[in-house]
Amino acid sequence: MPLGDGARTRRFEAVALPHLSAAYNLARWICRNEADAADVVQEAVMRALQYFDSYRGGDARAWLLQIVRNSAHTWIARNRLAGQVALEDNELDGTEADASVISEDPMRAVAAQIEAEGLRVAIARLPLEQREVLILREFEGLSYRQIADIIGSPIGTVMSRLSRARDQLAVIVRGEQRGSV
Amino acid sequence: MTHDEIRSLLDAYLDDELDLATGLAVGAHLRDCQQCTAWLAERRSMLGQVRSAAISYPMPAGLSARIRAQLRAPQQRQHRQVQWFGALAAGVLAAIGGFLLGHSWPQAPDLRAELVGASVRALLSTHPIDVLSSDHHTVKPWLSSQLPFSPPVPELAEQGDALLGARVDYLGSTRVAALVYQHGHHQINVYVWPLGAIDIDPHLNTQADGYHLMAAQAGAFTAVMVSDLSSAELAAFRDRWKATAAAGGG
Repeated sequence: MPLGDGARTRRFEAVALPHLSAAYNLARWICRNEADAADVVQEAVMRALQYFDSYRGGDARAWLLQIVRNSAHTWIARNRLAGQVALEDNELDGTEADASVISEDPMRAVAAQIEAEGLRVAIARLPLEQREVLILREFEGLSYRQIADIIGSPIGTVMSRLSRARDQLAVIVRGEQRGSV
Repeated sequence: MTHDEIRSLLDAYLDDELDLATGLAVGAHLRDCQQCTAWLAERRSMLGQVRSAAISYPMPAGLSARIRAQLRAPQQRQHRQVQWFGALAAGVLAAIGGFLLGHSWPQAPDLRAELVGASVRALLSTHPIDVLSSDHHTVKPWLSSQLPFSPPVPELAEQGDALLGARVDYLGSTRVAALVYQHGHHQINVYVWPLGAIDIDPHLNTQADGYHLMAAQAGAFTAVMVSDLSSAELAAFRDRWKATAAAGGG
């Protein structure tokens, strides 16, 4: 493993490190937990360095996000195996605790913040397969083709998952608006 | 296209992902269909809310610096919580991997990749020990519940080897038990699997990257001990472990 190659490492840094924030954000949404997301990103970057020779130019962010996504899925599989990750949708991290506050707290001054928190909780509650597609589209602005490559599924799958994710969000957003006005 | 067909394309339409002809067809439909137009407007507004809500997660302080440091000094990988244990686990797996690769291995050519993956996971894992307990009455049932076999878990505290706990690991595609003992300042990882699940020289006694690897057979199980203990000390540990396991101690 040619890790000691300083020039190669510098080239890798120039290509990959500008996209660390996007990498962390994706991992954070998939893992729903800060410490694990940090671990996943750290692992993914080392893995990306290892695979750097197979990077053939193109969108570096999409390339890195694919590795992050796969690392996050490996993390989920491994931790679920060991019984350390609650099954999807049973238990969320800290954002979950705020959920009950959201529909009941009518304070206008914090309305925007509450709305943001509500969205956060709503997205965190989406099934993983929909959640990751939504994040890649709405936050990273990636094309359907790029998303399809990252999750290793056909474009049709991206379309349907994205639509279902948005449908669910729309229901929740509508419900909250009714509840808080 | 029917109304329903158009309706199913509206998300792709607003993402500008339709080919020209389909996009024009949807546009034409929208001029006549209030229902679809209203739906699209509501969708746009909802997505605008999502995108402007600033709910992306910022990187935790220090993560970027940690990654940069790790890239610059891959030999001295650091990690919160892992530190020397992680380094040991990684070295152990790399050592076992290097060793097994040189020998007969019944499984797929992907083994190298799997071992690299296992090493990286162990290195970065925040859970180097899945079940933290010095009591084999806790450790053994936990392992049995995670694995298709029930490995021996000898308690050797009276002989100076404290049981720290255990985890489940992969060697190749085979799930194995990994028992973790402490002897003085050194840790010993004992990988255990049913006889024959992975081919290995039963008299294995070698070293790689500063770690000693020694095999033992205990009843229906094969064990490989890996540690940075000296060869003589690890051999003594192996004999204690084997004797206790054979005597049914765990």
